[in-house]
Amino acid sequence: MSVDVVIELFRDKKVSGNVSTIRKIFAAMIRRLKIRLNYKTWMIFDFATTIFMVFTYFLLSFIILPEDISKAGYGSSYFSFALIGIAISHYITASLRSLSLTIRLEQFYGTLESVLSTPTDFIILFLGDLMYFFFYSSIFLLIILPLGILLGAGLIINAGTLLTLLVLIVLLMISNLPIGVVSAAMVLKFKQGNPIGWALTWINQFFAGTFFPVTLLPDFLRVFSLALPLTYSLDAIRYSLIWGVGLLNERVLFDVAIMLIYSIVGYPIAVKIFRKIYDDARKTGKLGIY
Amino acid sequence: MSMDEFIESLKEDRKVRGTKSFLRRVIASWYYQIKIYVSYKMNLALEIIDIVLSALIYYYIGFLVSPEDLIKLGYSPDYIAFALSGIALSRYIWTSVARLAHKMRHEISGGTFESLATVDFDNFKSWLAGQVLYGFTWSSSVFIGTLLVGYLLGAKFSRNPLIWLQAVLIVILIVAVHSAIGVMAAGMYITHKQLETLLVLMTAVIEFFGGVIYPLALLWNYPILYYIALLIPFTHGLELFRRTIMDETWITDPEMLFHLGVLVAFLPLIYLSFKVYEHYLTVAKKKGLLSTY
Amino acid sequence: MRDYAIVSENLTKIFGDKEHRVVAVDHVSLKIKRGEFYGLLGPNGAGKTTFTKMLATLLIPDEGEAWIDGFSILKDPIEVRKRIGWMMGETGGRALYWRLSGYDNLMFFAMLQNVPKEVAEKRIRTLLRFLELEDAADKLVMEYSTGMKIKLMLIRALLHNPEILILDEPTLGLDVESAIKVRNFLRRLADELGKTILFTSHNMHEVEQLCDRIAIINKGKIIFEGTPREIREKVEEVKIVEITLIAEDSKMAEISEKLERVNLVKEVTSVEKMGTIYKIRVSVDDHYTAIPEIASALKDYKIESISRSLPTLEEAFLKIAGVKIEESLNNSSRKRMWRRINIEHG
Repeated sequence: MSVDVVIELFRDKKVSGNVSTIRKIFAAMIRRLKIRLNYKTWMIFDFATTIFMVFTYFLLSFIILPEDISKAGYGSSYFSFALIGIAISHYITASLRSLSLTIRLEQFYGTLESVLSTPTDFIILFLGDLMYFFFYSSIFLLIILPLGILLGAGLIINAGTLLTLLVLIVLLMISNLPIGVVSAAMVLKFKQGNPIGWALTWINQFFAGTFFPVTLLPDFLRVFSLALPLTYSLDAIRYSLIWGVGLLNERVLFDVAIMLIYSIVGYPIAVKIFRKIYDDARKTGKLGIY
Repeated sequence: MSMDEFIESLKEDRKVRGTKSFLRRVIASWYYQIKIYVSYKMNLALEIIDIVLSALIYYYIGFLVSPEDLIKLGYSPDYIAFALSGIALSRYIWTSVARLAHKMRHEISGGTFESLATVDFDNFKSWLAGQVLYGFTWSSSVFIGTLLVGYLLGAKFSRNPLIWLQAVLIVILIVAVHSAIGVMAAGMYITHKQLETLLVLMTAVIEFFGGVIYPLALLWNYPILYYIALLIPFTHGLELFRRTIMDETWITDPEMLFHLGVLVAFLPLIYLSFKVYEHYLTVAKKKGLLSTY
Repeated sequence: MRDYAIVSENLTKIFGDKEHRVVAVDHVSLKIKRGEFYGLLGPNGAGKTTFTKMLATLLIPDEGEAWIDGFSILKDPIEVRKRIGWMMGETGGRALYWRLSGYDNLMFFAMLQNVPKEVAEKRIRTLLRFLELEDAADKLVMEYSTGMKIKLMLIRALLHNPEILILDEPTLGLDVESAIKVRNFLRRLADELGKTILFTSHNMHEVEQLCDRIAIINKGKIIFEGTPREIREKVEEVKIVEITLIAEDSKMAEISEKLERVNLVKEVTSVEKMGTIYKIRVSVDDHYTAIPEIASALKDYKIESISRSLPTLEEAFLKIAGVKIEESLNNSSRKRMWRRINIEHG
């Protein structure tokens, strides 16, 4: 092909345009999904380990006494209790680690600077990745819940509880994102993102009662549980699915209110911390360094 | 140093040969890996957090567990000891089975594997041995950390030093058998790059069927799963380990001898593993696959 | 300001803390006209990449300001980014999603650059065809060679048809043919479409060929700015004699030694080999008196020619920067350059 053809292509300056924010977010999500799909064996591993986890807690539930589960208000089945924790664990990871994972991915590929040299705000990329994580986590949910029910988990699944579940999952992600934003800021600062993200996820899951009711914790530790938005997210989702109640239930409504407060208060603080560290990274030239 | 001085120093070059050379290379491989790990100080701190939190999770789950059910299934009613002994031992599984292939992928993608291959004098035996040694070192640190935390949380482990000597020997046997699997797999990985994820999957399978946090006897209700579990060496290793440190059962006990026999039957894998590795390395060199990933 | 596409005033960037302070860019002031093809030349670590990153709003300067098409890099970074196409060849093609295809990479970045899908598709297909990547478009980038990745990154910088291109080592890693093609293409973009191109390079021959003006940067400072001819004229004191002779490789050390013993010869500046023919360039105090002396010293060898020569830009740079070539370029890039020059000149 001669260079004349190419020159003519760029001669037409009238061709300009705009791409809507929604399209960009969608494009960012698709890019992440395509990258993921190229790691097919890792996806299989992801699904397999989650399924093994379901079976493990299913077997464990045979030797669990129902009393403490009942006292915490979650019925009498430990398996139902644990299943919900497993089912939404990917959403927890997504909200606590998605931004740091986005940054790490771009640093790993060396594309962060290329992305930042475009007029599109980095937040668009992040929203696209968040949507991807939501989509990916939802696939797990759609496998784990039916599997759990087949194994005998006593969950009430109907249109009402599913709608409630959707709203609560979105609120879970939104209310936990501020922690994820701060975690991402730490990635930029310390360049050792994964361990920080992992630690935050583990700490959250421990104190929020992913594997056991927080009522088992002594008072001095339960204070930490009450300070975490995840505690309320898990409580609301469990209460809804185990008892078949919706958003207007008193307990669920209380949890929703707490999550909203965390979202409203958490965001400005988290964004401020992130911006400061992001600008510092731009100043020191360490933005793209993996 | 001037150029002339450097040239002179090369003339005086002496090489270390023989067994001493092999051991030096093993230690070098082990040592540089430790240095790399320790340089990530944050990783170290977070590893400790991981150990403590894992232990605490099962400590609290232990409050939910029925002691009577544990006794009925043939174990002592101490769930924290039960779970943490399983978790501690399972730390060796990933490093034994999958870590080598994972490490090779890193070396290949980092472009250093071919450099290793050009200085390799013994078909990678010393490098492999060094990496296995490192894996053992790291896993042992986490293993000891987990048991220590369990002990502090009230797990009733034996305090008999001889029993612990038996336990250590059992652990070495488990690591040896699973490392053999890991070495074979690492060899096959050189020519079949997709294998790494399957190895990680295998780790998950081994841990599930081994009964890390639930009593194996619960699988009696699902015979197929139970028999699959019996085919896995880790299942027998874990039983041996638990009976030793929780119940102070000596190796001469008939049930213990059975589990030991199964483990020992897997020992010839160790010899086979290096042969398999060498075979695939040769194939990779012929087909030019050393640097692909 | 309106006549200029890129203006920098005292742009400065300092890295490190008080104990280990590195002034990567030291009060650099430049003005690049619209439609100008401007070369920024300098050795490794001179500050070229740091400077271009500041212009691309990826790095915040510690002092100074810059304007791209009238927009401040500090106050209007988004407007700046709309107007530039930035590419860093030094990454060796690493700045791509290697688990996506070449086409998917380009479409994604086209989106980020606000290029409508239909327009993007046409431009991508045309540019892929032009740079002979069409067949590889649907393959994963991890299967590409380094040269293919560099080409893809260049396409990415062009997708939104920016008026200003900031290209940091864009031909690094390309084979000779592709490099020539890319250079011709970039030159025409400037000539026919009036694009402003800021082009950084190690390769002095390339910069000499392409650029309207060149700035030489060393240790963060601009040490000279002018046209290629002005630079060469600046160093008229550098007198070069070029000797072409036929010799065996084993004799070269002896020949170099004999040349250096000639009183009027200052140093051997370069040695090129083409088959059995060697082209040796030496700097001398005076051409007229040096040539006979050289001929006498090498009388035992098969001399093809001895002639006065104008200094190359490389030799001019040595004079201006005060840096010897062994210090300014590492051996591998030096060999690459010589090989490229040899092949291009047959």
